[in-house]
Amino acid sequence: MSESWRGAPEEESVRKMLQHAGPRRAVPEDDLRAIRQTARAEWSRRYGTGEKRGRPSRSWLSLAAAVLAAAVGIVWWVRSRPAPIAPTVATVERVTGSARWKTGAAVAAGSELDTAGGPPGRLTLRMRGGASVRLDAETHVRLASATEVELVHGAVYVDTGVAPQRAEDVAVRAGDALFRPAGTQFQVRVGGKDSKLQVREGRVAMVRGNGSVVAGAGEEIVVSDDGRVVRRGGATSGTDWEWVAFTAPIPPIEGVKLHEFLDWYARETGRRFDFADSEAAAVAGSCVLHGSIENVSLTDAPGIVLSSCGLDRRVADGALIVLAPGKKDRRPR
Amino acid sequence: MFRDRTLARQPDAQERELVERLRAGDEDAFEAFSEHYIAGLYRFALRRLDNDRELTREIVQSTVCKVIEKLDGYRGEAPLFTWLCACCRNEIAGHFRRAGRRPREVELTGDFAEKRPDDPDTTELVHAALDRISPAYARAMEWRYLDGLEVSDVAKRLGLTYKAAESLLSRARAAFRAAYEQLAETPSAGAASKEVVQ
Repeated sequence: MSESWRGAPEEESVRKMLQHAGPRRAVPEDDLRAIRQTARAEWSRRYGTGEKRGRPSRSWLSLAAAVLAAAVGIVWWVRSRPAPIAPTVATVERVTGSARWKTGAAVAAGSELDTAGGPPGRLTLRMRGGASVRLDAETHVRLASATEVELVHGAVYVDTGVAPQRAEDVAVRAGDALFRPAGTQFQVRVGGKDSKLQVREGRVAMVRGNGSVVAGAGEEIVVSDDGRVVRRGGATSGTDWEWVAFTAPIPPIEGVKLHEFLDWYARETGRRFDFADSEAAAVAGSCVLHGSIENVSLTDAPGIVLSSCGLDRRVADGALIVLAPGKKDRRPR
Repeated sequence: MFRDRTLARQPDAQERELVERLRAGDEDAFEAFSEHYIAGLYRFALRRLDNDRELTREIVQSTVCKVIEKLDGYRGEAPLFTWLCACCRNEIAGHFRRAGRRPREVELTGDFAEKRPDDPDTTELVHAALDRISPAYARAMEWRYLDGLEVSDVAKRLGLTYKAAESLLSRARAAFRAAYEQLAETPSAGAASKEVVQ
């Protein structure tokens, strides 16, 4: 039997208290960065690799005094220099339709990226913590840190992958709302007068002031400019998600099992896949892929890969059905 | 999420191990320390410095540097965050002493003294209690009770089994409850229960 606390079962009391209190106050990113930098410098000085530790001798103290004197001069000089370069928080992984960015380019904290204006394009970033962050066309964001993106307008998609390679979560701030994910695929769109969160996988908490609303897979939250918040069922594939498929980084497939490829395809498109019969499933279970689909679109990839394994496909009710050669889908509809 | 699995285990053992690894110059340990303790310490100081950001940053920088300097003296007798807070209090007191300002004495629970557990305005108290407990516990509780994750999802994020995650959440609640009750308790008006905060 569960323990009681504050007049209710303990777990229920704790849940209510945390929900009433809301999330803890966020620490300003530039303050955190400054503290971490100072702490790292002190830690490296004392415990950094290759440095001897222990009580300093008198000769070392003399040397330290000389170094300190020199350091005072250096500090004065350094302070008159421009601010240090901000740390890299992401790299450009894929560019679609625009020549303004180069694949592999580093993106520093505080950078603003705008896919509006100039040649239209979409951008795929790999955050320092491993998450994939994608920008639709006509999108303007600021990368506040490796774990937070500020969306000014347009749409951002975040994918933190699946365990055990799950990446660090990336939150999206849009106006006064913070969308805090919990291991997920989701997109936030700011356009016109509304902000919209759509969750494909996992959960995302929308935090405003002291309140929060959680959306799970297949749900969406719409925040109107008058502050009204609506949570409702939503799609995990289809029109709203099409742009995400165009930005998917195509992985190497050499030595990958067909089943793994289909899992990847299903996550990227939000589509289910199924086998028409046991023969198709058996082929998929034993087929190992060779070659590359680097220059193939996500739309064309399943056709090319399945035919190389002697399989066929059809789409029914938004799901990809894998068929053995010469067979028809005889599953009940 | 926890990049360092050390922090998903028992807090006392995990903190001793973390400190040992910090002393050994382990880069991942520094990242884990930095990620899981600095924000809580910042909030702790900010509450005691009238929300003065600049001063808070200065005090926390100074505290963390002193803690790193004294790491060899940490024996794990008190939780790491409690130790950090004690050092931070000293830094705050030292700052006002150096500034020549007459310190104001307040109750041990400081800004929480007037907030009883039944008071609906317990936000600060709940946040302070979360900052006091093991960061792994606090994070797991937020995932479960604030973000609404299922236990199985918390388990996945921590690399634990379902049962182990349930057990961790149970220990987290117990730690939270103890921290909350300690903070909410109004001490008797005795000199021993005073500390200098400003």
